[in-house]
Amino acid sequence: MRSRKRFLPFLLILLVSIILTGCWDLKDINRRVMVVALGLDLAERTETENYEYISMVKLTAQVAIPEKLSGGAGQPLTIGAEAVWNVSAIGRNVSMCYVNLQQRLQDELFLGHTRVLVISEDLAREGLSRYMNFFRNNPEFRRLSYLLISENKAEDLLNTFPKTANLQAIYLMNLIEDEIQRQTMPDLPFIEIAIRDVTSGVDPIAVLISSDKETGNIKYSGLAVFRGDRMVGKLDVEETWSYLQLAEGKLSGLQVVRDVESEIGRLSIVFKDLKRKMRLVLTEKGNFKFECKLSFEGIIFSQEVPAVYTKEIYLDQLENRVSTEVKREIETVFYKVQQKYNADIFGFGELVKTYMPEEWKRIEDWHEEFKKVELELDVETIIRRSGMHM
Amino acid sequence: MAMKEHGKLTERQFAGIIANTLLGAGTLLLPRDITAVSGTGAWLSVLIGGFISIILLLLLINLGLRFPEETIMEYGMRLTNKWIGGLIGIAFCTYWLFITGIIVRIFSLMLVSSVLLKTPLEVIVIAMLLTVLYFSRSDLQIVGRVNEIYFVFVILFIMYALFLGLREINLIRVLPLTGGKGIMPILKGGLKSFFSFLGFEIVALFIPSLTTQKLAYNYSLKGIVTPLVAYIITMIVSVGVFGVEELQTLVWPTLELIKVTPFPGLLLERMEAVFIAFWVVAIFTTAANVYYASVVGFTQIFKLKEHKTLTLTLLPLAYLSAILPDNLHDVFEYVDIVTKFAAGLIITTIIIYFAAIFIKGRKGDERS
Repeated sequence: MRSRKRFLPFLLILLVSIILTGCWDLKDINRRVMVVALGLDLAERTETENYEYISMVKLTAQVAIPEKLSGGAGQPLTIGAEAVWNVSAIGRNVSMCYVNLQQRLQDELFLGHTRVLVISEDLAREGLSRYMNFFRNNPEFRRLSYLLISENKAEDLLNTFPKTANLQAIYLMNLIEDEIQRQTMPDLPFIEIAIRDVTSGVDPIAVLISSDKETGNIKYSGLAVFRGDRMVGKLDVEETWSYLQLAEGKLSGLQVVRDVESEIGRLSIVFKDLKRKMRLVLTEKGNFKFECKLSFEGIIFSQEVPAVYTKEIYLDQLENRVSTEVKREIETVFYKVQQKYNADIFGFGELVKTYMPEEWKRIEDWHEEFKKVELELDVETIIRRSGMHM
Repeated sequence: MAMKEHGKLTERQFAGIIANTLLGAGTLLLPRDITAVSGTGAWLSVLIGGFISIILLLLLINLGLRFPEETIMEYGMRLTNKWIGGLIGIAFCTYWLFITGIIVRIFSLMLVSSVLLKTPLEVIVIAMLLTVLYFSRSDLQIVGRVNEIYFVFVILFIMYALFLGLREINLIRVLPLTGGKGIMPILKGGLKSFFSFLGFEIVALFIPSLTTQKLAYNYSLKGIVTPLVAYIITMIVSVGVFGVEELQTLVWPTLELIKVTPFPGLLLERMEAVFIAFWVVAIFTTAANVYYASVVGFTQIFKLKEHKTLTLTLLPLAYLSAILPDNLHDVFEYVDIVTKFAAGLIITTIIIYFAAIFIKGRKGDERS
């Protein structure tokens, strides 16, 4: 019994030394490379021995420098190009790039803080899904970070530093979030684009961004339209507004119409409220017809020529004008997307799948069917008030 | 035997055991598995699976209440004979043992592929199994208490996660509610959803220990309806957020669901690690209850004095069944086989025992 008790402390020491060795390969948090933004570019085409063309990809990582961002009392905060470091690597595919990138950095890459993923337009035109798979598979990468399509090279966008940007990636993220809040941009996190990619009956869209390295301007320039996973075209900002009104019922942007009273100046209207009703019918020819009823509530934003809308008839005419204009613009966008791009970014296919599952089963190729889809728009506007000025 | 004294288990603990045993590995796989078969009608499948389980559970309790002093192992052997009853008992216990391993394996796989990227799978499996071992050495009273307390944590966390997810639903993706493919896929999905309800049959071991046996029906219903509601909400939320087609591409749909749910306030981000910590509790209670049932079952079949003798002996077998599948697809295949086997086993057992009662008389015994 006594000898057993004497033995116990040794056993304890042995046990403790086994358990505590668990920390031998720990990594401090400051030994990790915090990636805040990622860019994907098409590098160059190289020919292999078997005459197969391989397109090389270039991955650019924007790495935050924590020492520069901490900024003690009295010290000025480093901003823009000082606060981050852009590192690029070239490889056959994204994972090769990632490995090559890792070799250029002392510490381990960590993707968990990535806010934006920028993909260049020429790469998006080749097809997205094979590049996106790396990020889908990665457990660190945030599903809610934003995917942007850059009109210039993605690397250039990451190298553009607006004057007010503390951290460029955060600036980009805030820019997107503000636009979403203003309802002028669809809310498109990475996961939403991935979902649209695999879901039949809806085609992906992505936010288009253009940048100017010299002036440090970063601009939201519309939407990239995809057919399947290939980018096929663009919508500019005003077309995006129409798209949002039709597809998501968001009251984005301004509407400019001619003055009713004098026909000289123009009037700008902003929308305050929008109700959208969608109805799906099958026409006699067997095509799908979407009857969409939009009712706007507008406010006069500004007038070029002073005109007082006290008379009922003027206001009625103005409302009619706004409705016709909105209708014309939405229809233009719809027919452009339908006929030119043949991409169902409105998700009409999903509506068919949901409300007419029997019909959906007999459709083989939704894109072919989508060409024949009819749209009947009914726009109604009520103008309740003007701004501060009569 | 010390195992089945009256009053060892309160009714609330009884309900807690059922709910905790059900809420576990099933939630991790449920959305993908069932939508693959029945599309957007998956929630109906879960409902059907749930109703079948409820009926089977009530039948088991009815059977148990006819023999208020004995567990299923004991009256089974008396009702039929040593061989048939023993064989059924052994089948149950082996399947519980096997399922312990599978549950631990599924959860470890998720941890390894999403959070603990550099930890070997075996380490997590062994750590989980050792905790299960420690738990299963305790008495039934303690098992009941642990389940009662943990139930609160598990259900609160699951409900919180799901209600956050409710905001992200895209209604177009949830409709049509019937799946639009007819009734057959929904029924097939119902059978598939059965895996998530497996484990309720362990109550057959605990009925003799209840304080008030009359309340067994009432509380077992409470115990099984809670997970049923949680499952249906899980289905609707995950279909609404991802859509059926996207769900097929996700290995861990429920985890992915938490990843895409933004949390209120910017202070806390990437909360999935916290949720996984709670998940450990949910998985632990499932695996531990099932393992405990297996150990107790074997003890009663072989008429041993104490169940502690077997706890350590059976653990290597549980570990083996956890390590047995080669890869992810193997694991899912085993899950499929186990589900079918368990459904068959429970239904045949109920039929055989009821038939025996019918033939031998109400008490099933010459004693009566």
